Amino acid sequence: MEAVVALRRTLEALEAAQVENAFVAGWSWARIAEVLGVSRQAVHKKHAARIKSRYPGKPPGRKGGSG
Amino acid sequence: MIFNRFAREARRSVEAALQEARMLGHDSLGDEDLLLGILRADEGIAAEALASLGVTLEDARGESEAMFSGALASIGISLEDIQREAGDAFDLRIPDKRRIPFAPGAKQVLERAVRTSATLGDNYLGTEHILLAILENEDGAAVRILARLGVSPEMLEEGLFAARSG
Repeated sequence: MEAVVALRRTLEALEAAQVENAFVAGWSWARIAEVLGVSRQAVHKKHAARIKSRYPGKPPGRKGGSG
Repeated sequence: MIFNRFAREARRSVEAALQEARMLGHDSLGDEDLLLGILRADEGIAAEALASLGVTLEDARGESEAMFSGALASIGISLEDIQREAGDAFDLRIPDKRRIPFAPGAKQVLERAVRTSATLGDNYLGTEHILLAILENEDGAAVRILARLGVSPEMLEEGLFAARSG
């Protein structure tokens, strides 16, 4: 049971990290959402504010608009 | 509301417990966080007793993290591998805007602490009552952290009562 809790917490952090990594690599929200299998709105709501606060302005390596 | 009768040290310890839980990625506050909070706030009888047994915040935190990665390893998952794969973006910390609720076990600890305070005839709720209540939960993560540091509930109870009379 302890492993389940640890896994849930790790999964949350891993999703946040990989979405951030994809965003920084220039992926659009639409593409991130499609790969995760959720709606664009859902992924934006869950991750956009956190990631944008970590990268004020344009993140390094990212081209173009907000997707 | 039991918070009103909290001694200042006890209140600060619970606030520090929330900070520890957030930092360590605990999406609910458990009894181990209450223990870490007492160590982090470093005030009151409980902190004194823990210090007298050589228990430090860093060591306790380290054991908590070791138990976390150990739990993952028990189902074949390497936290280190995940961290390496995800890079610097991987952070277990709970985002600031997300609320961290008390786990049922931690709520019970605070309820037991209030009763322990009454049983001892104290008119305040101090860190020692919280720590005594934590120790009653023998299967809890806090007691297991202390055991890994070579400290048994009996040793700590003794230390607590010595610190109270000292």
